[in-house]
Formats: sequence, C-alpha cells, structure tokens
Amino acid sequence: MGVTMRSIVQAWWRAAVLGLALGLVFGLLMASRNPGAPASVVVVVTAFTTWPVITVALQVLWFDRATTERDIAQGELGVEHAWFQEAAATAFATMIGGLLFLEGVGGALNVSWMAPVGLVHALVLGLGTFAGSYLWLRFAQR
Amino acid sequence: MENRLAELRAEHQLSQAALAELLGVSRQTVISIERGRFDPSLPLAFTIARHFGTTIEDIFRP
Repeated sequence: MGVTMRSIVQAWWRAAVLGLALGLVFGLLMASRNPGAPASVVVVVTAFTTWPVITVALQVLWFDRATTERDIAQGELGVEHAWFQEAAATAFATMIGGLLFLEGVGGALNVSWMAPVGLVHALVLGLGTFAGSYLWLRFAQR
Repeated sequence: MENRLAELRAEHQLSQAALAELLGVSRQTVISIERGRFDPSLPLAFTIARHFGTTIEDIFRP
C-alpha cells in the first residue's frame, strides 16, 4: 500500500489532536507558573513548540506501538545493535571510572576543572566514549 | 563461529545487499556474519536457514 497524504492523516490525526490538547494543557500550566508573562503568548508558544514532540511521542509510543515494537525487534537482529550494546557498556564503565579518577585526582591536586565533578564531566565522558567506541567498532569491522 | 553463508549466498546468486533486504537486516550485518565477526541471534539464524531451505547447524559451525 502506498503512502498518501490521506493515509498519513488517517494514521496520525489522533496523535496530532491529542498532542495539541496536551500542548495547550502544558501552556496553561506554564502560564500559571509564570504570572509575570502574558498568558496568551505563553499558552500559544508552549502549545505550538511542544505539539510536534508530543504528537510524535504519542504516535510512536502509543497509537502505533505495534510498528515501533516490530521495528525494534527487527533492529535487534542487526550487527549495529551489538555495536550499540558494546559501546554503551564501554561508555558506562569509562564514565564511572573517569568520574572517580577526576574527582580523586582533581580533588587531591586541587585542579578546578577536574573536581568537583558535574553533569558536564559525565556527559563528555559518557557520550564521548560511546561515540568513539561505536565508531571504532564500526570501522574495525569494515 | 564459522559459517557457510557466503557460499550459500553465491550458490543462490544473491548479492550481500539482496540477502540483507530479504532478511530485513543491514548489508553490514551480512558482511559481519560472513566474516565471522558477528554471531547472529537465534531468530536471525532461523530466518537465514529457512531462507536457504536448510538447517542452522548446516550453515553455522562452532
């Protein structure tokens, strides 16, 4: 079956409507939490900026969950999934070890950019190791 | 783990890309299996065996 505008609308309209409704609710919540800002602007901006994200999340995680689960199961068959798992395990171990190292050495030597460790250290160590490890596995297998 | 995937694929005159398409995996997955760098999961091994009309143990050897 080909993908047409009509089939897209039929598949997505429920998520789009519910996404907009939830976006408006978030907007009202934001407006109530920020009494100093013009309420109508806060509601409209929040609703329309969160709408696409909420719509996609609802469609992928709820309305079309069967397709998502099928795609995930199919994706797990590939070598890329094995690389992903290996890279994630490497990144986790490196991040924990790296944070302990930075905190210990940075604290002992009183190096300001090393200790105390924070979110940036964790992100750089974790994401950097994950990306490097995944790319290494990918190119090593070529 | 050794396997006869490349041999079977050649017998059936399939490219790596064509086999990957049939199995629903990436071409890199087929390449990695053929080179013995990636052991496929049981569901994928069954799919491969079914596709070539043979058994898993006929294709994969420990």
